[in-house]
Amino acid sequence: MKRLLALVTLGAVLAFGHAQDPGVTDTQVLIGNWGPQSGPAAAWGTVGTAVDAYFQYINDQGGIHGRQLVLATRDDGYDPARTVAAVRELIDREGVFAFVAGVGTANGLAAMPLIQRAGVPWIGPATGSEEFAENSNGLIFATFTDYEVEAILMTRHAVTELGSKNIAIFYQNDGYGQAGLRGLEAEIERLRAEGHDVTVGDRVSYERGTTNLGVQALRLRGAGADSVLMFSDPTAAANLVNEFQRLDYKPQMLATVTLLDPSLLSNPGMQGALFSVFLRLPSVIVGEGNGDPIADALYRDVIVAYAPQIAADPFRALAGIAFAEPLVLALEAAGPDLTRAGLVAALEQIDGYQDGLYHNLSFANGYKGNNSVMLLQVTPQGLRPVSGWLEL
Amino acid sequence: MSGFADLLQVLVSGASVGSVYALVALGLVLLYRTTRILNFAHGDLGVLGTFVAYTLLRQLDLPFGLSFLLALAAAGAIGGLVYLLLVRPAKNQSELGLLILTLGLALALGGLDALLFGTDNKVVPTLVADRIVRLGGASLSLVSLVTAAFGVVLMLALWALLGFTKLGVAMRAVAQREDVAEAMGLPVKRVLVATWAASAVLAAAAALLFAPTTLLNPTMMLDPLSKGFVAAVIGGMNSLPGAVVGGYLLGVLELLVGIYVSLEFKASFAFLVVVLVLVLRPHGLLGRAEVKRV
Repeated sequence: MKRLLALVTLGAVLAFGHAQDPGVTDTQVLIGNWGPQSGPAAAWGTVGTAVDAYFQYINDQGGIHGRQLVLATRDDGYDPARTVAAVRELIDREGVFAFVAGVGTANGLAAMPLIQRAGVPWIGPATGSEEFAENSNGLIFATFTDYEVEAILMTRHAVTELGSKNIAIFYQNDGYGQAGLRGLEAEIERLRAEGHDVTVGDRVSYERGTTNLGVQALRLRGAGADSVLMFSDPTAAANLVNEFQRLDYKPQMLATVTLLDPSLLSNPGMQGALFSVFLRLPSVIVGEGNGDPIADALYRDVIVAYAPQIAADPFRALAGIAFAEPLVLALEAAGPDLTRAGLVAALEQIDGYQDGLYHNLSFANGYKGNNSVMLLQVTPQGLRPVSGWLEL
Repeated sequence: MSGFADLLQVLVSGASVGSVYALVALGLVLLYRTTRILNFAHGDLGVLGTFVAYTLLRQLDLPFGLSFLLALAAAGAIGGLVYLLLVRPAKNQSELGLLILTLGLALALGGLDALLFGTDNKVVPTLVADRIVRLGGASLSLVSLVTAAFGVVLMLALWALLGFTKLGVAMRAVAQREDVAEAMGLPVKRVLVATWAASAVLAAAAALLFAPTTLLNPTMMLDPLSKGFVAAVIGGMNSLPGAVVGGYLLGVLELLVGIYVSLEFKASFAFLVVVLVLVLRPHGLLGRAEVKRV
């Protein structure tokens, strides 16, 4: 009996002596991800495909400290209930080491408590909600410029650069749209305090899935808004812009990055509209000669080479790489003895990193790694940059 | 802009979206009054037809009018096949069973769309190049006017079919008493195939008219379908003119509520109307109350 106890104790000591966090072996690191491959937001499924392509690209260069990156991804159909089920499975059954990207505000919020309870690091939630960085608990590292910051920077640009006096907002009546509304109202108050003569013309909301947006268009025109911030989904934006055309109403539109959808960009009513973006863009989006060399190289070497099926949607494809970039940096910096604590420490060390897709990535002062956007304008030749990096 | 111009604007915008609601409602009512089936796959049949038109336009470069007509024909054929392959074999199911069958069909068609055509948003061109027409201080879009007019033409065509053709008379007979119609020697099976086909054509027409104002994707018709149901209930589930009136009324009322009452209330307004109609006039504005002999 004593011998048996001694053996069990020795076994336990040996096991704990070599304890590793889930998802890590000598040859691979398993990373979890979810996103809509079906349902109303399926176009954002491109993000997961791009992350997978980026991992293949890294693996073909030898992986990280001899380990291959493996992506375990699940289709949640943009349904938060399915996200929760997928995340539970990825943690409990697959035993993922960390999460990367993960599309959707409501989906991420539904999954966040599970991820935090399990102590799994989550890098680059694919949503601009501020909730994730603000409730990070040292585990969530956000890189998507949050919607409130985006609204602040767009409003400031509209007033100080375009001379706007009456700004209205068209927003989805949920956390995403309301963050845009908060940003607009806060910035207008600041601008007025600075002496600018500007007002919020109207605050016009819609419920997700609504298709008859004639009222919203009539309200915005009735308010006499010279600029309209748009925090909606691409379908609602397309409906609204078509209504604007019917009314012969032509305000300056300033659209959040979520609307950067090829089908919306091809709508003639979007000519002249401004779009904010939070990452460097390749020539394929902003025209030959205007692309950023870092983005051009990643588009060519990762997207075209490993996932040509998503090459026609270059923004979302590069966004996928951007969400995964800090993870790869930190896996490298964490060294060969990989633990979740080591990964988190390495992420917290990222400070002023400018060699990737973000203008200035930094987690030294908190879990919002990126607070900058650039504005692009829709022209007959395509999207063209009209501002430098705007930063909070 | 004057109050009159505002009102005119609302009426035209409301009529434009109302014509889509009316076409959806017409298709639903046409099927319901003949077969007692509430077809939850109606919107998905329309989307499938629109994807066919999109493919003909973009992949095969066919002219718009021809693509439109071929898509309507394809939708009709698919509607007929749905009846022959799915609904007829299940004809002994209860009304609830058939309703669940259409729900399953809706999910399957949505999956088929995603598989065949992808889930990314697609742009469908308009029937005519758009330009603004000024009338009484209001700005009216030519596309809206053509959409509304085209909807009216389709409704008149359906009215002519039902009122002045043998097939129409047979459809009405089957709608009233299928067993008696069969006993009188009417080809009930063919009539039902034609009814499903006509309903699917109306669904596709609604989706084709609606698609250029939004983006084409597999879920495009979710909202118009729910509004079509509401329009059908307002007008009366057994009244074709009621479906048309319900559609236009809902389109205009939604805008009026959004502008003069509350934007936030607009989304739930349609469903409040359903509750009111069901309480105050369960057979709808133009429907006939069902009387059963005992």
